[in-house]
Amino acid sequence: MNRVLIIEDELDTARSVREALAINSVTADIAKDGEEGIRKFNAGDYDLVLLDLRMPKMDGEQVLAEIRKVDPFVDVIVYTNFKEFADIKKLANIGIQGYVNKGPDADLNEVLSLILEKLAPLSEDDIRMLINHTPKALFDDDKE
Amino acid sequence: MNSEHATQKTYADTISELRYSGKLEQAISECIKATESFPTNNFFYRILGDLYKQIGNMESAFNAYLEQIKLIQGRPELVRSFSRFYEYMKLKDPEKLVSEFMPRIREAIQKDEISHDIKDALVLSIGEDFLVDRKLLDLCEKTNSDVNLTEVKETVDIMVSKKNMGSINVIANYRINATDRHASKKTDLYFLTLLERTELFDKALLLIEKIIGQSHNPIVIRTLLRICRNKKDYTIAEKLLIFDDDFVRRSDFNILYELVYYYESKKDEHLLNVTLQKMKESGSGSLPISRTLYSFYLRFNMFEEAKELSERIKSLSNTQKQKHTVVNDRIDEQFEAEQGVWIKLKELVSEQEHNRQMIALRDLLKGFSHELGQPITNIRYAVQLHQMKMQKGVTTEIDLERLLALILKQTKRIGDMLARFSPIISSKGQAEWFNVSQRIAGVFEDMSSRLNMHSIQYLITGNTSVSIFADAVQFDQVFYNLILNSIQALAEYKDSGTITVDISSKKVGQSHQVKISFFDDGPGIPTEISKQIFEPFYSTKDPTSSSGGGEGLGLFIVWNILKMFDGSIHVNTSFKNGAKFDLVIPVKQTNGGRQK
Repeated sequence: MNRVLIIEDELDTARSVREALAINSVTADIAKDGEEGIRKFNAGDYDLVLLDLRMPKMDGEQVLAEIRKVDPFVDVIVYTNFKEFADIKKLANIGIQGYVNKGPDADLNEVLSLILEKLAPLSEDDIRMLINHTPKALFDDDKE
Repeated sequence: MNSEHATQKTYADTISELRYSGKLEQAISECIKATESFPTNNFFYRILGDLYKQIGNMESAFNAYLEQIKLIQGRPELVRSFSRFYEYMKLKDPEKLVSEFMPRIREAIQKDEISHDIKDALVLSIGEDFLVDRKLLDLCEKTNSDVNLTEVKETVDIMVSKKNMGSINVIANYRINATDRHASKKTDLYFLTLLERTELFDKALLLIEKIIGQSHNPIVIRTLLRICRNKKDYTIAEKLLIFDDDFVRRSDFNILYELVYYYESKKDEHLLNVTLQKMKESGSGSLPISRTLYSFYLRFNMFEEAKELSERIKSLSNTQKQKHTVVNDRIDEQFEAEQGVWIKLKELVSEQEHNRQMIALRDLLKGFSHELGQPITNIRYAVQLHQMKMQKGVTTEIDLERLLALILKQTKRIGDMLARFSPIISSKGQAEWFNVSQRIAGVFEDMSSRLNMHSIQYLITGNTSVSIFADAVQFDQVFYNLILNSIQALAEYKDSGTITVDISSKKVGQSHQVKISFFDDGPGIPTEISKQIFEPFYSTKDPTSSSGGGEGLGLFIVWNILKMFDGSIHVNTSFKNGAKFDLVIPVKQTNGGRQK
């Protein structure tokens, strides 16, 4: 069973994401700030963290650093509206698996598929790659 | 031992009774008996000294005190009686003090009759003066009359060249403590310049305190300001002088020069400009003054003024050139070089200014788009979630109601955010005459429920009759934001508080200005962030806190409104009892003149 932790001070945003995940049979918990987020992360067993970077008290970068100390491999997707290349590059350096934007092009479907893709045991790319590497003979038999 | 104590007590009681009933001669003879019975008890010698001093027998008083200070080893605080006697003698009979008494003190020290700790205590309480010799005292006395000034100067100059600082200190103390200065005005000025020159700044300031009251001599004032500038501390100057417009107007060039530095250190842009203006008016025909002023203009990035002045300097130089052709033949080149320099500087500064504005604007837009992004995200997510549910056929009536409520809540949030900016954006500019104090009181009243909730009092003091011509709604916004900040700071800091607004007005050249000081008794603003707090989206508050605000726009809006009013705001960092903002707003003139 997959579990997601949403660390987000905007509860309306977090609740929509949680409900959309629920429809797709994914359980999500909400932490309303960084401290609560770290506490919940340490206590629970999460497969993915959706993290807002701009939060009061402890910001997302600090939270990410704490999470990485405990678990270097958990998937982390961050919310950002920094479109500048430099900012994204900086974030990639501290270890994130993806980012989504808030604002006029915010899209719940996009967030959902990004999360589901990370949670899926094999991604579409992985599946395609596996198929491509499967000996052709297997398929040739069917064709002929 | 007990009987000895009892006898001493009896003596002491008897002496004090005789003394307070005025029978001094009897008290003295009783005291002498006591010293004979208890020759090692310093107490009776001290009383004896006091009694002799009281009847004016200084010789015997000194003898008694001398015996006393020989007996007080280990208790240096007991030199107090003697040092009082010493101060008294210095005024009454310095001649006797120096020629008769002090040599005996020195002798006693040399013979080790006075212990080292007591010697140190004497140095501490009466200074090194007690080693003063006859010649030095003569010189001290000569400083009482300007008639001797030439002779005094000659001797003192030799002391300076020999670095005889001990003696200079003695004479300086003598001048500082002198009581009658009628015949020594020039001498005092000479010593003032001497003390400044020898960097005895503390002594110079003490002397200034004594002589500044009698004559508002420009040299004294200038020296005072110059010493304060060197010490980077204007406390004493501020104690002795009132730094207002009037002071600037009354001052000559030399003081104006120091005032520029003073107002620069106080970050008082207004009086700095008044000072430069006065300098310009008073020195229009003088080349040195114009040159100085020119340097100041460059220092404060006032390039238009510098350009104008540079042309005058050229013409002044040309006039002089005709008189001294040889000396000034490089004026044209110099002028050209200076012109080049200031054009370059102006370019650099305006470029820097432009960049600063662009960065501020970019940060503003970045922050603002984030703020708007949040409610927009919430609406889009909620709508998209609803669509997902519709596709799966799982929507309910309650879901729809929740969606609509969320959209209304989030659009209101956007509206509130825009409203916070409207004071800056709205270009209606409906200027009107209004009373400053009444307008501010109105804002306080609008916020009374919040103020009451946190037991915050407010006071409006100063000139409550001042009116200005400006956009009243924008003006309200300034105080709305300042009060809101204070409430939030006070509420987190303590259970009650007071906000004070002090209003004053002043005339600057042709126009009037209103100065408003806004201060509270809260935690205050750390000096290191006193400039940053005016930047957009700079916030120290938790944005999710129930008190609202926290987006870091309040003071940015205040700053912008004041800029539109052609005014200014800054944090008064010298105020330590809370946060203090100083606002300056010009009272705008209408074409028809000022109306009430």
